[in-house]
Order: sequence, then C-alpha cells, then structure tokens
Amino acid sequence: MHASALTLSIDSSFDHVFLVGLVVRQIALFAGLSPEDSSRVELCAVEAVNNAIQHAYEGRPGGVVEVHVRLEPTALHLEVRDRGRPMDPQRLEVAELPFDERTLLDESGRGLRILRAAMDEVSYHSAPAGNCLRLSKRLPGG
Amino acid sequence: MELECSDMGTALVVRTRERRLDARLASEFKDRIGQLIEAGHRRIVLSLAGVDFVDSSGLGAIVSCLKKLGPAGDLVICEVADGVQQMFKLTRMDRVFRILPTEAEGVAALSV
Repeated sequence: MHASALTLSIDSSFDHVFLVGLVVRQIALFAGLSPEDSSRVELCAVEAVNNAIQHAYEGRPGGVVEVHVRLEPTALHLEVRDRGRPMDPQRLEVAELPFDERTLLDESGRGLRILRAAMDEVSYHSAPAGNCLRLSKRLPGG
Repeated sequence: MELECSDMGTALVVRTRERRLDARLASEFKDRIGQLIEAGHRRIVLSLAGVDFVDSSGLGAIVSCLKKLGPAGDLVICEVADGVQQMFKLTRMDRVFRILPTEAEGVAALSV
C-alpha cells in the first residue's frame, strides 16, 4: 500500500466536528485497526479539533481547522492545523499525567490526556503560519 | 437536544435521542439535567441507549451532573454502547460511575 492523504477543512464550530470523527473512523477501520482502536482514533481526532476550536479560536466560529489525514503502510497520521492562538506547549506536558484519583472528578482537561493515552505519538508545533497538533497511530503489523 | 424522562417513583430515567454526546451538546445537556436536579430529582438513571459517541466534553457534562447531585443523590448510567464503554475505561471513569447493562437494572439499583 502506498501512502495516501486527504485534507478535511471545517469552520471552527463544534457543530461540524462530528464529520471529521466519522471520516477518520472509517479510514482507521479500512487501515486495519480494530473497532475499539478505530473508536479511540475517532475520539482523538474529535478531541484534537475541539482543542483547536476551544483554545486557538476561543470557541468562536469563523476560523479554519484543517485535518490532514495520511495513511501509510505502517501508521495512520493526523495533523490538526489552525491559524489561531498558539497553545502553551506545557499543556501537552501536563497531559502526560495519568488519569488518577486527583483528577477523576474534573469537568474539563481530559482532551489532551486522551490523546496521550490513546495515540502512539503526539506532538505540537507552532509557527507564524499556524499551529499543528500531530497524532500517529501504528497499524497492526506496522 | 431531545431528552425523554420517565419518573419511575424511586428514580428518574433520562434518555437522550442524540447519537453523539459531544462538545456541541455538552453545555445544553448539563443545563437540562441540572434543571431536573434543581426540580428535586436526586436519583437519576441516565440511559445512553442509541448514543454511539461521547467525547471529553460530554463526559465532563455527566461528571458535572454527578457533582450537582451531591452525596444525597445518585446517578447510574445504563445501556452503554461498546465504543462509549471504551471511552469510560480509557479515562478511568468506569471507576467513578455505576454502569449497568439495562434501564431496569439501573432503576433497581436506585430503589434499594
């Protein structure tokens, strides 16, 4: 299988995020991930886009969120790009903390930790042209 | 969002007709359940039948309801789809919520 890629683009409104999730889930299933892992990848795509809308655009519509999906023989890569306010990289470091008793009853703050728990690689890059959250999931046999 | 409620005497069963409990609906869900709690319903069975996706915002809204109920109240979740169950497990929320297979078991659990 050669690498294949597509880019999804939505307005920065929570109303459209589910469409990204549905597409990513189908690609994950096609790539050979189990239904459970495909659900997790869908969840991560949604969380990453929600994070961009909430933090880069402060929950306001009118911005652009792009999700670049790249399917390689050994891994599925997602890049969530926005042109809003950069995220404090420290938030991703804090997200390495496990889900434990101290945070179980928090009403927010789970999104990035879900990415850390469910994906094999998570990184964030900010540049003048925009911000990019990269997620990778190894495929079976990859 | 569409919520359907059945007062079973000892507990209020709340069902949603939405397929996804996510950031789009989390705030409204939290407010609507909050209103039910303020109206005096302290024992709630939340049926997630037909819900095939919950994100961290949806989860946060359910946590908020649990906290609003306080120590005198109780919340049981039932009819949870496999994918949603995975999400509860991933975030360890399966340790916070009582999750039961059916509505009847949820109502029974709150009747004792």
